[in-house]
Amino acid sequence: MAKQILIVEDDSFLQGLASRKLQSEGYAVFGAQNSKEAFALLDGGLVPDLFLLDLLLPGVDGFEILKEIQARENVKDVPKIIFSNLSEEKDIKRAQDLGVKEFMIKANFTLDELSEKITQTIGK
Amino acid sequence: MFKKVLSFVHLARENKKLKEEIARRKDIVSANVHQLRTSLTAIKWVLKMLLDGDIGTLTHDEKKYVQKIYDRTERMIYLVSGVLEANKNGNLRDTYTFKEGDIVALIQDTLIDFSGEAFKYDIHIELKKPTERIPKVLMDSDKIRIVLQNLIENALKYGKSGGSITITAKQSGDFLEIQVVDTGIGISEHDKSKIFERFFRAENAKSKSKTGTGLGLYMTRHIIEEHGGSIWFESQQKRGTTFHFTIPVAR
Repeated sequence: MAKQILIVEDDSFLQGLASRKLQSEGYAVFGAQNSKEAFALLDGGLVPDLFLLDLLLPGVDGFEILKEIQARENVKDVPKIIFSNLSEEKDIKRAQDLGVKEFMIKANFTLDELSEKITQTIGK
Repeated sequence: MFKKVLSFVHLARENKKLKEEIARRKDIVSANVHQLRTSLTAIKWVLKMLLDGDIGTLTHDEKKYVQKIYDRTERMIYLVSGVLEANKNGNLRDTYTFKEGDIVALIQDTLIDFSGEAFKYDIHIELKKPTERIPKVLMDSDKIRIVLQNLIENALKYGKSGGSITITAKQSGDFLEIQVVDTGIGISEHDKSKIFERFFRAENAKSKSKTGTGLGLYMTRHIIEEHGGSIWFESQQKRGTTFHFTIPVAR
């Protein structure tokens, strides 16, 4: 069965590009543009193999989503990659304190590099 | 005594207002930079998809031009990160890797990227062949490339159709001096002292071009100073500008 990725990204164009790439690499990609959509998927039974999270989101931000994920027993240990154009040390530290091991600044990476990082993290 | 206390209170109040204004401006810059990065990300990804053949096959020539704008996009992303850092702490990134390098070769390589723009602006750009041997310099090539790009981009943007940009290199004691001479709109006497300040754009520059943060020359000066060199210019409004910068010769 294909590994499942939940991508939370409010920019639909960027989300579409990333999903297209990851699907072509053999992953099953579930997309959400905000926390409501993300938790609707999780409440519907989705247990992803990886979270790909933006931080600056409309309404509830990525940090709050991270906290909520940490509070859910069935997904708290799922690897999380922050994929954001925020880059201040305080944001990186905050994400690390919430259990994030990978923080990627979107503009600094190609989709190939994102895909490689995901493969390194969860395999295929 | 009472007057002194009043003065002090007034100063403290003004200082507080200033700090709040600085914080407000930092937030505005931060928010705009984030938006910029998001758009640049989209451009970068799609260009890479084109280069990799993910959305059809490009001809050899098409690939050449797409590669050029991909490289430009990467440089914009780098510059935008520089703006963020300058916004955060007033300093630009300080990681420099100094190596011996051939600056004439670097200039030649940088000029290749500008052939399209020179054609578009109808401005002739040339590197004048040095008449003497040019020694190697000690430089961070990526940073000096940014300096050259900033100076050439400014010369193009504020140049006049049919004009020229001439670059020369010559040794001056322990330094190599590079000159970028243009026949553009020049800089007014009023603006000359402010030209290297962060976010400053000269009045005549604003009327000629809508874009331009003004940060380019600020960064350019910072890079040259980090190399131990100096940068200065001469200019005559409506006639043109000559920028000079120096870099230490490698021992």
